[in-house]
Amino acid sequence: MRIGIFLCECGPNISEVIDLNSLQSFAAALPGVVMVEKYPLYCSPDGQEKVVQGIRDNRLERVVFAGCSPREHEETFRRVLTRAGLNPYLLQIVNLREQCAWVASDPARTGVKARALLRAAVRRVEFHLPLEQKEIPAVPDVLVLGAGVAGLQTARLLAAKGRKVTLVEKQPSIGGKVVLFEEVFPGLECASCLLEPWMDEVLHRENLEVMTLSTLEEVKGSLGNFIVKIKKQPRFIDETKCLGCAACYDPCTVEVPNEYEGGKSRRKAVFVPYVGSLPNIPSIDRKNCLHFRGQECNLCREVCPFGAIDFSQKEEIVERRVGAIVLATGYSLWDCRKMPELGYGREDILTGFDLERLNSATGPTGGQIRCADGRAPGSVVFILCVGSRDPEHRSYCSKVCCLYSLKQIHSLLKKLPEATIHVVFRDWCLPGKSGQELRDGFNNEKRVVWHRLEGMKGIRVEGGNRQIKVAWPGPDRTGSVVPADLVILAPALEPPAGLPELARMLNLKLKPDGYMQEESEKLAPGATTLKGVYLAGCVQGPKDMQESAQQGAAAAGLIFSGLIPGERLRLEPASALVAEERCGGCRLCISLCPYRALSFSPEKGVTVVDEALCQGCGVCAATCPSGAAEARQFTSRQIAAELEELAGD
Amino acid sequence: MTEFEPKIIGFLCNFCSYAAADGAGSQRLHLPEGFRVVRVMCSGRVEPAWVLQALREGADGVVILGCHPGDCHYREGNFQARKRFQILSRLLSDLGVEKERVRLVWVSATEAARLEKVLQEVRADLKLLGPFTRKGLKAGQRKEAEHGGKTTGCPRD
Ligand code: FES
Repeated sequence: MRIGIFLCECGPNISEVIDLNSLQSFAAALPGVVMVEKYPLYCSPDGQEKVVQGIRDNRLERVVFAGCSPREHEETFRRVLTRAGLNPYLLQIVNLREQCAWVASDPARTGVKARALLRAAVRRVEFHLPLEQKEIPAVPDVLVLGAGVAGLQTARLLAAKGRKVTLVEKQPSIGGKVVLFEEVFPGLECASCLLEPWMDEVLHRENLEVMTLSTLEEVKGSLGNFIVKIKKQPRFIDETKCLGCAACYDPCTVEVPNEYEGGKSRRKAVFVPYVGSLPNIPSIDRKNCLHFRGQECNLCREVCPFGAIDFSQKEEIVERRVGAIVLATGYSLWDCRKMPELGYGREDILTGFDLERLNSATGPTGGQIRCADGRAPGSVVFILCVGSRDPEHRSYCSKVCCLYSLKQIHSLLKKLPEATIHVVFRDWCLPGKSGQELRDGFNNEKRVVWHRLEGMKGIRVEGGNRQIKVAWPGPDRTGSVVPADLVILAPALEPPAGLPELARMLNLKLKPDGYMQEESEKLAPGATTLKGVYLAGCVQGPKDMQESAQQGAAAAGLIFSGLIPGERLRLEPASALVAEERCGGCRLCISLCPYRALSFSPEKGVTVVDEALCQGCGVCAATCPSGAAEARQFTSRQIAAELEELAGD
Repeated sequence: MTEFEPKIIGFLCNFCSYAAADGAGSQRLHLPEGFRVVRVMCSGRVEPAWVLQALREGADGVVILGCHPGDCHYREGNFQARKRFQILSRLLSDLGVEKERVRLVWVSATEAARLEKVLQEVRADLKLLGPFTRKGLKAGQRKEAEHGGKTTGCPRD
């Protein structure tokens, strides 16, 4: 074995602490070493050239580089080896700078340590394996889960550049929750006016497939090569035939509260969730439809001029191959019933979301703000921070409630010229360039009464039947009571329903607050620990519309740069391997692999590694009782060799 | 005779603890001169057999350093490390190896100062205990032969 050693002085960094001359002569005498060189700065272009020359001139088979940390220049010197015609993995780095010279206090002992580190590396490198850089083809197509602001943004940007996108939405219509809002802060634009061009774009692109009433069922594979199964619920309407003429609604004799409008309006069994929802195709609710309840009703089918009603549709499982997956499944609203003292569920006690529907021109009251009995409310009480910043419920700030409540107050002042508005709150969270403006707009407004409390505990909404009172204890135990015709609660945002199941399916983690764990909260908030799976919108944490749009665009950007059509994916060369002749098929390693890269091959009776999934952590190798599983760059033999020398004097 | 300077073999995962040891250098902190590092990708790669080998080859103490729970670059390698460490600790105490000699500690990439403190503590403990005599470990090798498994004994070839 011909081993060469390159000792880097790193300017004065190493040479002033460690006697490199004596280290050089020590190293020259080590078994297998045919060359030891010293240079002021090997990472410089000249220095790299020296290494290339050294390898070639001495026909080296292994290289030990002693200098800075492998975290600094391992990749650089691997490339140098490649340039010299040597496999880049036949290199071992001795961390002489960070972990020896720079942490030294006693020169004599530092010399001893440097020798031990060098000996260990020379012993180890002998057992290095030439590793192969494998490449596999990748599919550039993308699955986007959730068609709210974030998902729409990702899908349309990707599709605009020709990517094939499958946009999967659980609801019968797209646009998320925000499309139901009359105005959005800070500019008070109409949300559906903002979103409609996007929704149109998404619904009319040939390379963009929108699947509503659909959910993700199964995911296999990895970046560039996912196989996903999507479960599509029957709409009982043939989407290719229906023109959205609405002829089918009238004859339907069923009427139930419309859950898409918080039960504030009624709908038929064949229905669209709300006026103007897209795609403009109704669906049949099989739970309430008389036909499905065993009766002889075919009224909608008889009236449809296009023969689009199809009672025979079945639930379908659709399979797609995609290279990346974007999770944009949004948020849920915290259930205010968990604080019974606030009376949610009783008449005239609403959430901000319910108010959005009352306030909407296409909502159940045509945009008029009315109590349940039709009165115009004279006193409206807003209660903020419901469930948010509360260690017993959601400990974080939900970020959007202050702003949307202020927005709603603006709107109510206009629509209810007689009303007084009380606001029961604790702090303002109005960040950004226009949040404060929204609040300052009320500075001279006599009809708004602010009640700033120390905390939100102890607030009660009492009475009913035109006699509602909102009461809270004061710091001096006096407390206050205000009468209310309408109470508006601002509930916390919480992780979307079903997120734990989704995380399990993808082998991803949730954070303690229940949102999806990002790769790095600060630097990679749109990526996850699973390559090829990205996050956009509230699935990662509470966000407003603007931030969701940004993160949606960011996810598209990450995919554009990470998954390029025609480009092959490079696999981790230092992946695991299972020696078939030693594997006893016990499968211990399979359950421990964090990437599901291991599986049992019944034909061979042994465990096999999927190199596309393996990241080289080595957990399998450490677990294998028969020594069959190995981590290629950290084999037991390599480490044993290193240890033989490391602990000596 | 020169004063006893304990030899401490560290198994450090690339993403947190190895980065912390580099950080200790960048900040010019002092790590014990007897501290020598084996880099692994993840603490979950560390085999109990390696710890025994390190002690046999001349180490006076061993530290396994990984990312904090929840921070492992490979998601849960450090949980595996913890499980294995529990088994190893039992074995070591059977063999009469003082528990101060082998430790598992979580150190994040930014905790260079903490790493220094941990290692100085380990060093102080080992100085009190004195050099490791390796008598017990011979028994350990016998035991391993009885068990016939690599997870409790010396490394395979
Ligand atoms: S990468 Fe540090 S413990 Fe797994």
